Amino acid sequence: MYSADISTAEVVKKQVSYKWRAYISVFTSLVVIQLLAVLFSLNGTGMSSSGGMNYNIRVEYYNADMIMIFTIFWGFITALLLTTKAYREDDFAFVTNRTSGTLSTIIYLWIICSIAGFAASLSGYLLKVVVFLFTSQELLSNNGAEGAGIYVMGLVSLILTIFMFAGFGYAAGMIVQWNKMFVILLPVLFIGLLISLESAGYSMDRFFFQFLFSEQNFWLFIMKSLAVSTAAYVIAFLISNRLEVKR
Amino acid sequence: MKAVQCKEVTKKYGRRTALHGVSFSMEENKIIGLAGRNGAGKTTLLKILTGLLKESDGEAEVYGNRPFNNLLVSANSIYIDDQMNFPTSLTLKEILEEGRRFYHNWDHTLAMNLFDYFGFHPKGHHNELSKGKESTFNMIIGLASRSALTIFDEPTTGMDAAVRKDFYRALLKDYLAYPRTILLSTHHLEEVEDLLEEIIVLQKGNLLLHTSMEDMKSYAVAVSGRNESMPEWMKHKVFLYEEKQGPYEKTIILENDLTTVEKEELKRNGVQLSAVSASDAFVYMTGEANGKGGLDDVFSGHINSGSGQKTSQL
Repeated sequence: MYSADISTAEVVKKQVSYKWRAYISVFTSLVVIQLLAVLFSLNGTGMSSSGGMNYNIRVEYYNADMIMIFTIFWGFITALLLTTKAYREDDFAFVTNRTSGTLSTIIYLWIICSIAGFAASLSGYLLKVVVFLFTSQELLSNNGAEGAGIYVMGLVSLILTIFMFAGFGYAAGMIVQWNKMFVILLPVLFIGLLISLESAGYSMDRFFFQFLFSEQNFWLFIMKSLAVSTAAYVIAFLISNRLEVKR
Repeated sequence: MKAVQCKEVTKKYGRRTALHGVSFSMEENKIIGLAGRNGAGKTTLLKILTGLLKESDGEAEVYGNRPFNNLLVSANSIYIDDQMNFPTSLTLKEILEEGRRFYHNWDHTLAMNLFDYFGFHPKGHHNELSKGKESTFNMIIGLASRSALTIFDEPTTGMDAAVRKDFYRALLKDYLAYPRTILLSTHHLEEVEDLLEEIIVLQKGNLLLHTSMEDMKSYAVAVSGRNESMPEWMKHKVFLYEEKQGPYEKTIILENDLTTVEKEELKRNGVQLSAVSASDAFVYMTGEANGKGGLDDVFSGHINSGSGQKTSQL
């Protein structure tokens, strides 16, 4: 009856596939959010027009920025939701411990973030198709950056960014689960810190966005974003090891 | 190897202490009952054993491992209660499939047969089940998992009498075919008396008793007769319960440690001795003997003070 032949890797594998089946609804929200983003993007991000005697030129700019931002937001919220009690108790319905539960969730997040990133990168094309079909405008440029290499680099950075924000959501969620007071404290601390840093002359722009998103070197960006993600996930992991379930 | 071993296990929730240093051990492959009044610490103890909660002090061991955050214990034990949470996106049948993937001893044929027998719909959802149906479904998972340590925490909540009966039969049949350690906490001790081999009684976070069911059945004895026919030495016995029947007669429930000589004397005095069932013994043991008096006292006090108020108003 009793079996000592249980390996963490085996359980984590089972849990990832269990979560894949159990949390299938995250994709519904992904589709809804990306369609919404496409809809919002149809407004265009910029417009310039010039005209003369008998002509008028109007240039509208469309890009998939909105879709990416919405997808990143989706990653954050989804990871946050996975730390709530209902989802954590789903873990404990079957064989688990905190280590395997957290590890499998992180792997699961990586998988869904990859899918979301891929979908987001493709929805840029959807946007072009919609603009082409439903407006009478002339499409000037079909593809921004040229080449498969550029596309893959963009895709990888997008996935890493979504995964990193999912990490922020996961860590924030775990902190809140650890002590409910952080529901209020965490946003207050975050925004307070932003404002006080801003007034002290250190803007968030320099600390975060420049550090990460202005990085010109692709490999350096990968390393930086992975380092930040790792920090977030390690915090979540350490906290989850202390959490009891089913009070 | 001991299935379960507890050494001075203490659990504190903030300032409230739910378990005060409980120590006991359980042999493998037995059906053991856990009894106690509401709030006695049963659920806390069971959750510590399955690693859902961490003991504040002391040591709990399941098959030689500390349960909290332990994969081995999780894989070899299952905790069934009426608040089990399953993903809402999975159907009942899919939940059973997941159980098959996770538990190495899982018996899927048994699970599906019970599933059909109790008339579940394969496409049903766990959160749409009625209270009794939910308990029945959880019970199926508990039985089919065939975990080395199977824990049922009040498994019959909401079940109707027929299903309860079916459940006890299924439990016994499966236990006989595949012996394992089963820990059962219940409020219906009279229903499971014949099922259990041992019983653990908790009271207010303390271990009151851990004994075989045989001993529990003869744990207490009821003595009833006229006041003056009670011998002098009765005062030194442990009274579990005392009830006056009119001014001259009374019934006393006491621990069954009477010697043959003492029994003879009682019989000579015309005092009646009668057996007390295990479940009644449990009620007396954990009941009114707490020095606060019975429920009758609560009401008589209330009514007295009520009438007192009335007269003062008049």
